[in-house]
Amino acid sequence: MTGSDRTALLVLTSNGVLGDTGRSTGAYASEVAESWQAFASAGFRVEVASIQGGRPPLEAVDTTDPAQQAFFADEAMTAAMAATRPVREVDPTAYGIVFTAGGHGAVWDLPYDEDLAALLRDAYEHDAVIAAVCHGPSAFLGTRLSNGEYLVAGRKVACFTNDEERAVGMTSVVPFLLADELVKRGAEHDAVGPFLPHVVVDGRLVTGQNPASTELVAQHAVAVATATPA
Amino acid sequence: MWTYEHSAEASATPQEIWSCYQDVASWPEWNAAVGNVELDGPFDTGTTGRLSPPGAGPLPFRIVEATEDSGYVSETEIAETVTLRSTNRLTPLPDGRTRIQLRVDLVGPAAEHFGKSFGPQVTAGVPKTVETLARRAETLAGQ
Repeated sequence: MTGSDRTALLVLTSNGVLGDTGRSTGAYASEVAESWQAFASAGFRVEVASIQGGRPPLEAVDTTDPAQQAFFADEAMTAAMAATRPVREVDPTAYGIVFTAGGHGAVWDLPYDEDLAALLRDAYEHDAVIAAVCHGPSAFLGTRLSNGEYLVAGRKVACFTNDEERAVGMTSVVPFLLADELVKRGAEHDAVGPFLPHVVVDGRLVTGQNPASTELVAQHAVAVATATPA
Repeated sequence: MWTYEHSAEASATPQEIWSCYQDVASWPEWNAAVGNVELDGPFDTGTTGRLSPPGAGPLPFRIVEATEDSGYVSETEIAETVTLRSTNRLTPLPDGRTRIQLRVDLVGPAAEHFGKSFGPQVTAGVPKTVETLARRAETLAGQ
């Protein structure tokens, strides 16, 4: 494998406002921390980008959680999170894995950012594994491949389900129901019961249903990436 | 099973605090987890209803057990895989005060996962709920 094959990129939302509610949001802290931890444990170098660059907002920070404790104590991640690169400045050929974290904030910027769509397209077409969890697959709503088809067309994907959205009381807050929008773009949505961990692997597209699925997504992304011929 | 608990003492009798429990229309005023509650019957064992968290839609709600002036247990179905059980106990103290205890448990096949993912949001309001209830009961008792 080349050096770039052993590098994972975490992509985070830059949106910290929960629609019109006045409440705060951001990238889901456990999804950022657990993905980093799984990638780092597998020997991957981890870099962090966000839509706008700079310090991204975080949601649901839990300082009692061991993975988050390790993440926030890690000097490299502390530096990276203080100054994430904007996605427009990222080299899409430099990564073996590109992982988009969720958090409700993501649905307000990930689907609409053309630089992110180009990054995902170009990374995928350069044989990277594209992974996402929870609301992270909202990044795929705007992602088309060079042949014009949506990245998710004809593919099995997991994401935060409509039932989960109802359970956390967000159906009237989010601008769309993610599962429905992915299906509109040709995806085959695959789900299990609310809040149970679930990962779907469809070639080099690896997706997870909810925060509890993060470690599985990262582990499967590593498995796919390391099995890809150099 | 995932669980969290908080207690506080109030200069009010169990009867005065129980009246706060029974007055479900007042719950949004002191219970941080409640935007609205509707019951299909009296505040008693077996009564069903709907509980809406602040800013969210209604969830199935049931009073599992209710003992007047002593406490009650309720369940709110967050999803088919996880239910929030709220155990509320009133203990009279030797000095005439009452200990109010609130324990929340997540039960169901996704309980541990939901607790790990969303636990802080679930527990954040528990201490405030108990403390606000204690002060409310004291106010109503003329303390």
